[in-house]
Amino acid sequence: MKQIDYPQLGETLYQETLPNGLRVYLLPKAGYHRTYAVMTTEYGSIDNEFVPYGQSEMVSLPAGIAHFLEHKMFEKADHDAFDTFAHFGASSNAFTSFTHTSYLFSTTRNLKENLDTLLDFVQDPYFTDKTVNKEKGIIGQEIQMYEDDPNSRAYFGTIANLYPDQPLANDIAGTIDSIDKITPEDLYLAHKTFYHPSNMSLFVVGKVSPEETMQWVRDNQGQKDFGDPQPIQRQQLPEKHDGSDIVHQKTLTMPVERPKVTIGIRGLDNLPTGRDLLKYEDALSIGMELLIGETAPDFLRLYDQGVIDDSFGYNIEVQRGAHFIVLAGETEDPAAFENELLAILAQAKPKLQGAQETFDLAKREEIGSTITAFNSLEAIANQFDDQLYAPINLFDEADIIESLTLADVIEALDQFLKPEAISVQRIVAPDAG
Amino acid sequence: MQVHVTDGVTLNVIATPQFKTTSISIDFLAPVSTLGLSQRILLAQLLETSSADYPTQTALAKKLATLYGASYGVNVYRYGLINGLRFSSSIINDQFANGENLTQEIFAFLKQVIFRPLASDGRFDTTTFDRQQVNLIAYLKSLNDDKQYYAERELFDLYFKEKPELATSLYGDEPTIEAVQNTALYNYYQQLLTHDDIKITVVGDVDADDIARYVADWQLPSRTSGRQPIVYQRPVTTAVSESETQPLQQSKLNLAYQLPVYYRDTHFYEALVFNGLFGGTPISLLFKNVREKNSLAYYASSCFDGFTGTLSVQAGIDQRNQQAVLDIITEQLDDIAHGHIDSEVFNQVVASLINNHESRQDSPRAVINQSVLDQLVGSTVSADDWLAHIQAVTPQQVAAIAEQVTLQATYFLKGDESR
Repeated sequence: MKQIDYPQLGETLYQETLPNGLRVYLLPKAGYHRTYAVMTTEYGSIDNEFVPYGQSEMVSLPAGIAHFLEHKMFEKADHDAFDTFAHFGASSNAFTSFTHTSYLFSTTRNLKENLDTLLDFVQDPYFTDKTVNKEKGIIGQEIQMYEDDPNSRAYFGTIANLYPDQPLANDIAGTIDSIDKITPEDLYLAHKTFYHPSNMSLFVVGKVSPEETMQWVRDNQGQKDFGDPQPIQRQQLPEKHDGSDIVHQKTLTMPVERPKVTIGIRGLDNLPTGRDLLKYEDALSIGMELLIGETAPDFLRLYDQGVIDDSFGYNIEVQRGAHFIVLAGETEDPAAFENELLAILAQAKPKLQGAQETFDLAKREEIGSTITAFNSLEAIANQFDDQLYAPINLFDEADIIESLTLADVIEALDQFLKPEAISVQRIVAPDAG
Repeated sequence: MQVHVTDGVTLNVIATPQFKTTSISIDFLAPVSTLGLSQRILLAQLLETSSADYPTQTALAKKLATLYGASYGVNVYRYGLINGLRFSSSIINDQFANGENLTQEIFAFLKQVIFRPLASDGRFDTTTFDRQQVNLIAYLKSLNDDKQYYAERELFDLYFKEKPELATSLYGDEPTIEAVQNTALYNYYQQLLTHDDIKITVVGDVDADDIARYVADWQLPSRTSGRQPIVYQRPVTTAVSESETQPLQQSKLNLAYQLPVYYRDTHFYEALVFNGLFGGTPISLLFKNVREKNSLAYYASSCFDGFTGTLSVQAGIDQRNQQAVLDIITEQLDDIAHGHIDSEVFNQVVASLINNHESRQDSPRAVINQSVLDQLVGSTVSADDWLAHIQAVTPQQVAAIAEQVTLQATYFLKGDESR
């Protein structure tokens, strides 16, 4: 077991990769009463097409399969893992993103029993026609709930406009029609391929003693046989690097009280790896703050003009295979909102060049929020990604921010922001046309 | 450590090295009213975005950035009959800031933003006031796009018809906010600053004496203090129901029941277990039967409010299944009342409640909330006592609680895509 000290953060991380390939991380937090554990597979909604474990031909499974699998893992032949966790006093849950599926529990007691429950239920699939069909009604309601939610439509719709021919364009949960096609065999195939320990990690944080806990995990995994790890082949869809596939303008109508506008920007640039990738992401983050964050003069100007209000915000996503930014807000004047923000993005370079004083402040703020995040067990474990930035991870972030210069920020934004990579979507009420 | 700062003002410092930040709350407390609630919400919006020393969001944001991205916010809450306006902030510990005394600085900042609003001649800055009033009304409108929120609001409008101040949204009431005048709001704020009970709570790696000194520097005047009533005992009335159709894919079914058990009274812990068993946990009967067994919903849950003796139920369903879901909900209640309680599920619920309760100690916000609440109700329950109380609850007692539940209001938001 490796021990990695981060004196600046006052944290010590313990790490071991087990013989079966499972990567285990333990982070003890003094004074905490609770332990939070999350087990993650590198498998999300974009991974529909792949070569199954032990086979050689590509298969294509229905959209929404990773999320469906997440729902179905809890149910076993004679019990529900939810109840086993509850029996040992833990609460449990799971979530699926574009690139990952995670299973978690939180407990103040019985850590060993709950850890065994987590490892066992995630690694022991059980699907039948009956249980699979039953889930279709539940997920159908989930899909409809998000269909009625304009914020969800705004965000995911914009991503779909940016990547119209990619699996990113599909809803994470799929559609009522696509999930209807899912069979137990599909789920077994996906599980066998992506839930091999070598494609998974386990992060345990809070009240945890590293030596003892690591031994529990070793013991649990030592009893199981998953076969040899095999590299996973995912279908890489040809991506148009000139952005010519992007849907630049779209209007959706649905019953909303106020119009919502989103501006998506797709990264067409090739990303660096490791430390440079995290640096690039932090540079984008500070760059956007300087351009249109609350400390930016343009933010205040547009706020005072009533073009944007407190609903305005933006989100930066850097993930396996894609990176993009989505700006979103409600506005009475969608045209002004679009024109003003697009003009600011077009002027990014000169605007950033004059922002040295605010840059120093923004850095200070980012460092503070990085440290604050280490209060939250969920924030630490959920944001941790040892693959994306390998060999470094989020524990190195404060250092990276410290070393950033305004020139780094200008370069990152300059590389990222391309006018041909922008997509604008409006959501308006039907009567507003 | 609890300090009596002056009459009507208390300071509670919970010193712990557990967190990387210090969290601070300053609460101004008064009896709830619809007008007062709306005024407080508009105040929260104004004071969160401006002050005499930091007249714009940008000036405020820059100041907070210099304090290593300290958070600062103003919000409004309600416990039963009590309404709080809360200023809250959290800031990283000095050890992460090269020895700067950030705690002292944040107290100086809070003094500025609370006591020196952007105002002159007995009114808030006109431009700022007008902008924030417009923004708040716009925000209230768009909240209605959240149909879970909307359905709950409609339900409580029905349930608290005779006591509308308990139904008013914690984001405010649109017509009331629209009618608020600048000078009246300014006067209300001055009144609030000098007359409201104040509870200051600090959680973090701090020295209580230091904090007491920083607070003393605010020179808060004394005020008439006295415990205000917090619990509202709603009488049973004739059950009412209402339904509305909107062009939605999913329908929302919301129910409100009267359950005459109140915060920390004799049967309070029994009611907590009852709610956990009925719909308050993901192992509850509602989750199991509406969602898992019959595949009728993505969410189906219940909530118990011990300050008003209210049990509410919410489910997102297909419009065709309204009656089926209602039948299942009623059946679960009847089952509990008849004592048909699975002992394993019962134990799971108790274990879940214990886990939730013990986990709160890891959240500075939860620690602050409990501290303020303890002061409002004038009692404290230690971790051991809480555990003993919850473990002593029996299935028979839970059955007796279910018998006291009376349906009072039903609201159905019917989704109809053809509209």
